[in-house]
Amino acid sequence: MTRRRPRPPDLTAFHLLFGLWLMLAWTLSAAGVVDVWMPRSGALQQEFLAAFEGALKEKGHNVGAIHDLGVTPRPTPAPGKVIVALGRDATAQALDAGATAVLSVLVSRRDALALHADDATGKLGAIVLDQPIPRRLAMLRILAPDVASVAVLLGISAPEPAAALNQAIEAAGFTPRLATVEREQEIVPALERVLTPDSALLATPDPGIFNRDTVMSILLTSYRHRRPVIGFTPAYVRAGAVAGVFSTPADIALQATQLLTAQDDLQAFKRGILDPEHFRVAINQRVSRSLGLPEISEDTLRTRLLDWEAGR
Amino acid sequence: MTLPPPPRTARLAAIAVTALSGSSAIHAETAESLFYDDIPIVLTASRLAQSTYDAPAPVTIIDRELIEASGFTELHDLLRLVPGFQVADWASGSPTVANHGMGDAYGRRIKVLVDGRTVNNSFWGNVHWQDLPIRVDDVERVEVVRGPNGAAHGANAYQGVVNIITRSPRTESGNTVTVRAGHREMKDVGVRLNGGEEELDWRITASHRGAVNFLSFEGEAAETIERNVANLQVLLQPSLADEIRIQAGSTVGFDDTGIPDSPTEPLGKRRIKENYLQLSWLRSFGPESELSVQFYHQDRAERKHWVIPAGAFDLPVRQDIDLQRDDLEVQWTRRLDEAWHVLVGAGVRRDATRSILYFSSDRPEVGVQWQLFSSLTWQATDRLAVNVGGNLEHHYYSGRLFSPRLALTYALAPRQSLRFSTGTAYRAPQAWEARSFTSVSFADQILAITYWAREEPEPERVRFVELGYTGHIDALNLELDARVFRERFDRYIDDRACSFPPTSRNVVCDYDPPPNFVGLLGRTAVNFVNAGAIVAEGAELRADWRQPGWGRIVFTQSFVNITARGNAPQDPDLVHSAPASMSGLQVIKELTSSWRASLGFYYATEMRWLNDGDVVPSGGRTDLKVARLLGPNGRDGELAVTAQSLEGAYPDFHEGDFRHEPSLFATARLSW
Repeated sequence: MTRRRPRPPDLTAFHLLFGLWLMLAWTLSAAGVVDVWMPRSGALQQEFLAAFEGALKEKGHNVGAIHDLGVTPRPTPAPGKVIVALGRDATAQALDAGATAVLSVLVSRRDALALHADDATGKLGAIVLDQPIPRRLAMLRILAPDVASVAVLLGISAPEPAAALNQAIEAAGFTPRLATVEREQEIVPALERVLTPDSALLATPDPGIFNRDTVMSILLTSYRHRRPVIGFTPAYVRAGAVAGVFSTPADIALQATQLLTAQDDLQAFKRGILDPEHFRVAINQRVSRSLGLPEISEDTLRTRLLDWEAGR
Repeated sequence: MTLPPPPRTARLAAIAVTALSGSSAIHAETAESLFYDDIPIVLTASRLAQSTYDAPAPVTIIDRELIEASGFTELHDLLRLVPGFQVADWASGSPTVANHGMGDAYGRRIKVLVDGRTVNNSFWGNVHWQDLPIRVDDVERVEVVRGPNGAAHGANAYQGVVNIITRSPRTESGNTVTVRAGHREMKDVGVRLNGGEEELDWRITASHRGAVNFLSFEGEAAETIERNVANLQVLLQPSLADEIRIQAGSTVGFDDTGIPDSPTEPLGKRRIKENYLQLSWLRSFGPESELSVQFYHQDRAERKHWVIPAGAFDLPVRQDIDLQRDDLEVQWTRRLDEAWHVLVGAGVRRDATRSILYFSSDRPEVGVQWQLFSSLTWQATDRLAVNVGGNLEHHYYSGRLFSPRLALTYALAPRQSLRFSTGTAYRAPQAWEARSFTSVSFADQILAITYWAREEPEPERVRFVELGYTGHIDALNLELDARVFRERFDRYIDDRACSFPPTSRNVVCDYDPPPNFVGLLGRTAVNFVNAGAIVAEGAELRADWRQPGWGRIVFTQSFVNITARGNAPQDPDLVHSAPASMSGLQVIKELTSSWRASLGFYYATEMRWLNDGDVVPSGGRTDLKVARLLGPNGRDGELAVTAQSLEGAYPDFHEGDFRHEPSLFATARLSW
């Protein structure tokens, strides 16, 4: 009698089921691995979100939950999720809630540094809004080749320490002229001290110095001395700074996507404080002409700035 | 639902609040909101200096550096820095300024504005430069249009427009004390205080000065002046788009003037009081789109009393005059798109003049005028811009006037342009020329008439054409401004003296005197008529070279040739009323980081000032200033010595009657 060898079990269905499960799991994981927390839903946040969802989708991922912390209670972060937090407050809440991977965007360097200092376990990465000083100084060099010194007003809440600024300015070939300002009334006298005939003023995102109440004094005083001001936002350029380099929420969204998808595991994104990579420039041509600066278009300036970055 | 902030957020918030509380700029702005929040547009078109490359007219800008280096302490002197401008002073009145001739003791063919407020007075039409309630130390810059600009400013922007822009309180801080003292009793003490918080800034300045301006020359008039000046400027920014500016000022002082030992014009004090209040509102819609509304009131009073001994009785003279002006103007500018920019505006003004001496009546002479103005700029191609402007006004003497302008600017390179402009402008007669009736009366009988404006003369008219080049030579760091021009002036308003019969004089009046005229003290009267036409042709050049570390050199040169037109009899001096050649040189030398020397040289060939003026021979004047700048960048003040007219006294208005005295003074200006 011949015993029939037992037939191996038919795994086709199992394989099919396993495949389906994997696909489902992958799809589910892709759909839910990135949550967005925002402090409120404003135009800025919507601009970021629209660009971020679009860019992420192109990479085969989707945004999961979107939490508007202004209208809903703070959620509990799901394990294994990346939380993209918009701004300082949302980032702080995500970290406090125990999230294991937080990418902070639309955040200033000063706030990102403070958050990072408290992040002992390395959960936080941040793409800051502040443009790197060397990039801003390179722009100044292109715009105003005759400028030899760079004036900076430093407040108590300065985004960069004086030593780092001095170093960056000297490294770019300029003479630093720094003045510390503690009260609004000191701004004009401080400007008078640092604005030499060969200088330009580098405005910094320091809320104690460069705010809507002081912008008029700063721009008018600088203009009175016929010295250019390098702004840090399109609004500052529109107000009267000669030029500025900045990143839009869409630029930051693109970088966030590239950062997250640079590796297979989205959670393994690079931590730490990251400069914005994608940027735009704005020139106030009327002010530039009035100060007698060489004429240059925004496109040309950006191209030359990109060339400079590529050559670093 | 609002969640309580988590501990870390609370800590961050505390950091932010602590950081911000260290400054008085307390704001709820987070650092990130700084990157995207809107802020006010500061350097709007009205706050930027006029671009000389794009301007549809020839513009010279006297900046703060030149003002300080010049050593000038009186406003009218600053115009010596403008190519073609003639500046002079005389002992019996205010300094006078002209451009391309026709100047006399009452320079009234250049419109002068201080922060947009017209300061030419409504009676003489001239500017009482030394009585304006501002000081040179208050001036940020002076923008000068070196030719007719009626299209923008209406009647009386006839030979040019001078716009004096004062320093904004937003750009100043702390306090400054200035003390000047020199020979011929020159003294000048001033204080400037600044303050403000957040959306409010203010500045108060006050000064007292005095000097012997003219010693009596050949027994003619002398002049000593004293002035107390105070002014206030307050800036409010109630919202991001709005700015409210309140300005007020006052000058009180006297001219001790007259001819020593003269019974008819003795030395005596002419007391002067001048006040103004100006309110402005500016709303910005964008860098090149704004609405401005401005109202100002200004008044002036002059008093000088003396007695002329006239035989059996004394004749009291009361040289009193009161002037008042109220003015409202609205202006709207907008960039429509990349190619089109438009400006429209409207204004209404009321002038009132009261003088028993000049009108022989206590009733004020009142005039109301209005104007509509517009300017349209079309960027036709990348290089070519076309500007069309016009001003339609109803003047209280001259009726309806329309002053048009067409200008084409062609960009040769980014900072080099050619300009062609042509247009028409008018000068309406002043109250003096249209209404004066200066008489000596006793018991309803007119003993003498001096000025009698019997008929309103027609407005003077200028038709101009010019071709200019403005450019920056990058390789040389040199700014060039050159032009050739032709200006035809018609219907020149002149005074004509004649005598009522019976008279032995040659010129007999062809009109009758008033019925109650007896003429016991004189039978000659002066009337105002349109008398003559001239053409002024010439060229101007300004070269401005800067080299950081070395200094700056500014050279100006102008050539003017005036020829008579028409057959009507006219003042033969008219064609000599501008120097054929004028040169200016300013050298600013940075000796060290804190020492600076500056030299100014001003030369003109022979010319004749009209009416009260006379021949001024060819000659030059050299000024020198050496300054030790205090504090970082010299912004904490200076110690300086200034010498004006190293050559000594010189004639600049009337060779026979006056000598402009040299001046030597020391300055200490301290800021903290």
